[in-house]
Amino acid sequence: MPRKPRAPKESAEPVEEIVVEQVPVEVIAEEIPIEHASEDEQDIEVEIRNQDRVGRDAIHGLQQMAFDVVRLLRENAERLGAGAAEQLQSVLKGGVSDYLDPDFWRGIGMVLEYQITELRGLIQRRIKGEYSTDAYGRDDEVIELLRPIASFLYRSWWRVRVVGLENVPAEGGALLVANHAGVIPWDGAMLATAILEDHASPRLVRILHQKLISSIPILAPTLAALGQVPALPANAERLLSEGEVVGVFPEGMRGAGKLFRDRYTLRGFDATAYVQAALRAGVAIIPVAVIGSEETYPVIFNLDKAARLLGLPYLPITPFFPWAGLLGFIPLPSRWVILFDTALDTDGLGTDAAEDASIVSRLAGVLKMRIEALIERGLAERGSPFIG
Amino acid sequence: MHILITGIQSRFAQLVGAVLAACVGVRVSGVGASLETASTVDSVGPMPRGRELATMIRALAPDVVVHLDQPGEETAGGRAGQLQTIDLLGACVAANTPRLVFRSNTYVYGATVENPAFIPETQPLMLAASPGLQTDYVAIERAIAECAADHPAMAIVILRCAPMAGSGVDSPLLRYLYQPRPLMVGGYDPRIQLLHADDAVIAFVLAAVGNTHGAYNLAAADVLTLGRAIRLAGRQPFALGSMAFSGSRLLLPLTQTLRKSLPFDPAFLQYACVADTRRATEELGWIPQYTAVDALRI
Repeated sequence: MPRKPRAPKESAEPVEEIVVEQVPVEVIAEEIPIEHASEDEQDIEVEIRNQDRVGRDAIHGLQQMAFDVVRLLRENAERLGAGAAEQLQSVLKGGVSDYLDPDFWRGIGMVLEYQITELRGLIQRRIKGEYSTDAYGRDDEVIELLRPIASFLYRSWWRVRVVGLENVPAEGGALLVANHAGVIPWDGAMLATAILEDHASPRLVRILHQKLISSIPILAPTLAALGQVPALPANAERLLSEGEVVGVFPEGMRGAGKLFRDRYTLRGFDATAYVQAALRAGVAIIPVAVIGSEETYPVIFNLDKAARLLGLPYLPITPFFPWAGLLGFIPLPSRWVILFDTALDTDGLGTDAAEDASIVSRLAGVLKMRIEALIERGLAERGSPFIG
Repeated sequence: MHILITGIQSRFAQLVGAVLAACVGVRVSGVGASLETASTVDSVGPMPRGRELATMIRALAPDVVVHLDQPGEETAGGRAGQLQTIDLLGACVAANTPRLVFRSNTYVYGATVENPAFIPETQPLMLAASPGLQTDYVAIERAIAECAADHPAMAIVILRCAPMAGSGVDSPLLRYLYQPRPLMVGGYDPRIQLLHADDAVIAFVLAAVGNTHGAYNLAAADVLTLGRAIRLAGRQPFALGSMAFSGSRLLLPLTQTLRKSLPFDPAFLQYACVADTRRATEELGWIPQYTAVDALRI
């Protein structure tokens, strides 16, 4: 029997309002007998609150995600200028829990419209060639455009925790050497985002990518726009001597395409050429461990022959690819920890040490062991790969 | 100091001659089809060939020969250009000319995925898949390198210029950029370099009066992406899928037409060929005054 919707109880607390509005729906769905309905309203409220508590843990994650989306919009608006920021500020004045308030969404819509106008202006300027790239093709406008997405992945999707960020110098060149994983290697993006978002003096890490990627259409200019540079020791040396922070993954494709059962082991790791480049440029060599990237696309096995036939570096079968089609490209929301170790001890080694093969190979060996130890530490520190 | 400039008929060579003539203690002679040469340059008539060239250079006994005789801006002159260079090298060896300056192009490095972000002068030169500018320049440079190895007493300078721009300049890259719809390979946007002709003139002057030798890369300090350069030239690119360039036989006639419409190897539409100019700055003391953006806007 349908019950008349009750007038909302007068209350200042928005949380209670939500609870009250849900009451009639619950009652209809459960077809509560009349005698139950005539009971005190308090009982029903308690009942719903209990139900809410049961589902709260599951919902909590989603709520957190929604919270982050709102923050992302706000950060974006701040970047766009005062007008949009004020608009959003007024919308958010009532607190972010007002998801059910239509005005809230109207405000979000206005901000989005503002963004579209802004974006259109940007495209028009680019058509006229009124933009600039650095000597390696880095395009700061494109970076700013994609940065909110990276930030969302960093904070909300993978909940990246960073350890030892103070080991990365605030200025001057530094070489970050890390383990590599993930069929689509997001670890480079997250490493760069960590320094951009959380370092005391943020700057863009120049990630070096496999040089043959430069022959892949669309991907090649995109990576260049994001500040990535082909992984050639000569490029590393030049960037380092120009005072840039360079991130390398010496495992390359072998690391990125490794099987899930081989996770967190170094495959074909050879950093000799980069150690040499860093010694020549006289910069710090910092071991880095990325924990969490191995779980983004767990590779069950690789179709080596088919990959060779298609000219791909690897063709992995994961629990979701190719079964789920495009959805298989969505990385799993594993929990990430990125650890930065203290720089290798190169005191007393001049730039001429770079030409001494024994010193270089010894340092490269030490570097590998340091990264392996750092991975062990990171795995212990992270605990469960997904929950938390 | 007596400096002989070949190909004085070109605007570029005349500028080099005029600036050199303004230097203290420098006498400049120009050889080439005598059009209106600047009054500061002594014209010695048209460029002879073979034995006559050797006789002429022995008679003039210049301290420096700057070879700028090219049929047009930035053309190597094909087979004839190669033979002329070999002729000139032989004549200079016979006349014991102490210093030679040659013009080359950064195209000699070729455009490949293997290129470092900034190519040093020491990188081996690369022949293109198809005959053309790149192959001609590589052939000329090989002849020069052989001569330099055989005659270490001669100081030979090769200036590898990035594609030139500036008012009145007609270079292959500019011709491409000012097509109604310059062709791009879809999904690629290589970085390119430009060089303002005035900056190149200064580099030739510095190379002629200096005392260094070897190859030097010359380019403006900034690097553009091809797409941006096209837009700065006031054009919109026409992107074609990479399959049409490299792929199927079905499209072969189309591919060949497209390739012919390009004044340089199609690889330059996919991969970067960006030269490291630090050596020119450090050793020649050459500092470019125009950026690539300036060069395109003029």
